[in-house]
Amino acid sequence: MKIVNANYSPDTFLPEDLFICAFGYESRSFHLFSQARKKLNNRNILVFVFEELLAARSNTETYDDLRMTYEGINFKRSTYEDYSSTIGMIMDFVKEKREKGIPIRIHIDYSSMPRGWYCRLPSAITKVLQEDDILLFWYVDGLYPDSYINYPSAGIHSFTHFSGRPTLRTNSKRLHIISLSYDVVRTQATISLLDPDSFLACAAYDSRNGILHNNVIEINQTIISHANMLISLRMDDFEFMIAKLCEIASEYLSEGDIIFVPDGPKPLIFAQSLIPILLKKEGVSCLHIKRNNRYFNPVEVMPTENIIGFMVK
Amino acid sequence: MRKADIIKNYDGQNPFFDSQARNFSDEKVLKEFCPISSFWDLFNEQHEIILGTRGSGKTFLLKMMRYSMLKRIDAEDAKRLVLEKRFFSFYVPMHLEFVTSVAPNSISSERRIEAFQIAFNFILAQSMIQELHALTGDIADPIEKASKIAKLSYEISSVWFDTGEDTIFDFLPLERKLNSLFNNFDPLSPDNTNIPIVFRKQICSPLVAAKDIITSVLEITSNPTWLVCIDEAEFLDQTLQECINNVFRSDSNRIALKVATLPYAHTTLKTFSPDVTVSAGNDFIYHVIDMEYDSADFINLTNRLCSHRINSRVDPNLNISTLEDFLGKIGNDDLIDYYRKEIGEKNAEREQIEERIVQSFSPKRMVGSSSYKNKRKTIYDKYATIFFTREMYRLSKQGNRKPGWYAGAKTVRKVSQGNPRAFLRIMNELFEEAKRHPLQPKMQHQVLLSYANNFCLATKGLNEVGPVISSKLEFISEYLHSRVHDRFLISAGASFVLSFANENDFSENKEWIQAAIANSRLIVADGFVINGITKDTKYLLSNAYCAAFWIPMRSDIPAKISFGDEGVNPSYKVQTKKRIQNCPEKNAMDNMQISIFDEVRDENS
Repeated sequence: MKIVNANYSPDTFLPEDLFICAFGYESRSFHLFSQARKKLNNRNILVFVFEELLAARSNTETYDDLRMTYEGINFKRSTYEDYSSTIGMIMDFVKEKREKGIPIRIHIDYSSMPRGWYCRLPSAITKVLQEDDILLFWYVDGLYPDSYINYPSAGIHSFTHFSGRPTLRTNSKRLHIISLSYDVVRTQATISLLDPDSFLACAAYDSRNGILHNNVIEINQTIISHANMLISLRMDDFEFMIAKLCEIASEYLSEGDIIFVPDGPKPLIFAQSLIPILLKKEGVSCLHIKRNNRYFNPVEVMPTENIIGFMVK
Repeated sequence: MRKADIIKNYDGQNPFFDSQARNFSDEKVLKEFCPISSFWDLFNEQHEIILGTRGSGKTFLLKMMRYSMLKRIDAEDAKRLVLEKRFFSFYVPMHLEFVTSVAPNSISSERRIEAFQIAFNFILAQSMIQELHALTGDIADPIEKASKIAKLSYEISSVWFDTGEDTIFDFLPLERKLNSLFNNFDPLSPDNTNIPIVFRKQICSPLVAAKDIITSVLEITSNPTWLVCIDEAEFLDQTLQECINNVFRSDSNRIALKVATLPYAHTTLKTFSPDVTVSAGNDFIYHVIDMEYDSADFINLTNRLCSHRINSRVDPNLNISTLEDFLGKIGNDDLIDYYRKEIGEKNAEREQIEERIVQSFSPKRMVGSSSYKNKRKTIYDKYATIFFTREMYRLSKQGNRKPGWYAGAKTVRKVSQGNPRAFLRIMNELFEEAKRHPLQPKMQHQVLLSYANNFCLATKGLNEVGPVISSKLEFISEYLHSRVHDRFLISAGASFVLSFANENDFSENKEWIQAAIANSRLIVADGFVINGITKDTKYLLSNAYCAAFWIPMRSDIPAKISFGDEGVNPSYKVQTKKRIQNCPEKNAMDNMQISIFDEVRDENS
């Protein structure tokens, strides 16, 4: 699997391209969809609608309304946790188009997808792609409210293994790579639960907006002060993020196992989750933090014009 | 003389920076090891669940139980254990990434148990080989040593691996074989026939299969007990805990489990048999290892850590042997000594203090106190601590006045609450301050107060119910503070009981209370750590909270506190754009920080 950066422009979409996205609570989940719809044939668009969203709106007609409004577009209902059947549906969608024998271009907008979905897609989809096919992932950078209410993760039960495998080493050090975000409480909770031997703090930012990055660093000062090192990565350079994270993992692997604990912006989560898969080395693994289903507060995130992408070959 | 003052302008690394024992090499663990009374008690034939709060030293103790470490401890008890060879220990950590990868929740409970047992047995086998290195390391004659290694490797591999065609005569190929089997093990696959049968059985089966070989080849005649030390068991959910309980209930085979976990993390007594449960006191015992701050164990440990780290990493000529050497001592390092330093000798006479205490009473009590017998006991001994706290708090509110109150070795140990990791963190900050300024009581006070405030702030970030703990403890602390500092002096301290409207109210609050105890925010008697809290449990606010809220660090008749109709609300606010006003002070460790900002790809590469 090879990863290269991709630049978005309005001409990115071609009529026979495939487009896959998910409609969620956030307004940005509709942003790329509305642009893709202008260029693509409706039958080439696959949209997942979360059951949780439909339930929250208390409007059982919403799903049918969508289907009527956007006639011809493929709508599927799914739940946040159900990555297995969701990926199955995506694979069926892709394979169906693949059967036509012509090279396909697939665009996946993962801005509103749960990490359990999008992090699994490169490995799954590349298995059925041919050499001339193109797989693109897009992320719409979002505008968060100045403050919002959140709830803690569900403790130990929030953590699941995503990729890689630890070794049987019992005597060597372990290094966690902990991601930073605005949600300091969540990060501190992660650290208090994992109780890492030592950790690197990792932050990602859009290089076009240094202010937001400085905010994240400032907010997380206490955490950073306990880390062995702070790594700041440009999330608008996905290719370099991957390369740098692979380099760090490889460098420290000789001393002990490396455990990625991704959080924060989705491109950072995506990149960290892929490292064990790309490196294929024992001792490099990745944990995912699930949403707390007991308490959840949907947060409105508006789209910006910053769209970050990369291509998988 | 305060030896900390010699540190001024020292530009080397802070010797107290690393406080996480799991990160320590065996060499480091050995050098800092200070055997506490709990340690030697662990060498017994009982299954034990070792309970301790975060940073209490569980990992340290379990790692030190290994033969490879014991034989290097310079202590009579250690030498005896090594000589007698009655106990051999293996260290088996249950890291979260290990447990979640080998027993994912996406498979059925039965398959999770199967997968966990396999993976556990692999990691135990690996740990056994590491100890065999140490055991065979005792053999002086190289030929005999090589012969025994070959015999052990061959015979153990024969019972572990049922392939038959492999001939393994050294530990390294044995380790490689284990690694290879583990790396090819797929927990998601229902077919585990490629895994040797001994690894597919109950946990500890490889040990059962190999232990007689070990004693026979190494000519160990003592019929030893094999201790399997399982660390971080808080990451095992109920299903996987049943695997451990099953061993508790089984025929021991001279194997005893020592299972280290957090308070309240051992959540089931079930075994694989639906009608069979384990019972504490019969099948296993609980063992709480948290230390009291004024125990001989903790005093010795803090002295050892202080002296070892500074003498070995900073300057051996400093010749520090106690914490008191480093921090200096005012008088006998008692509260009255620091009070006297602030107030002056004249105003710190006992009779003067007694008079002022009486003047602080309510009018009714003031009248009544005139008839108190033995005023030393009934007034001074009982109320002095509270009086001092009131006075020092009042002083701290006067303009730029910063009293040197929270200072001295005794107070450092108190605020550490008997927790080695907390102690190291406080020392880290004190050392940083000592590099810049003489560590007079006022500076020590500032550092300890800053630590205490950060400790309180960090409560919000505790897992799962952090925001709830934070808001509840803030309520409790302010209530206790007001009891101390409001108009009249009363007998008040850090102890309290909680009042619940009904059973439901208690159940709703139980989760955050237990989490607060597990994270050293609240202190309870060992019985409540083992058996769980009840509606009548008496709590003590941690000394760090006491420092932050100026509450005397003493127990007393507990105050009764009710939260009223306020429910349990775990939400918190996330700020994105605005500068956080109450952000904790930038930690002094910034100069140790390597920061890579703006990683930009070289466009020419």
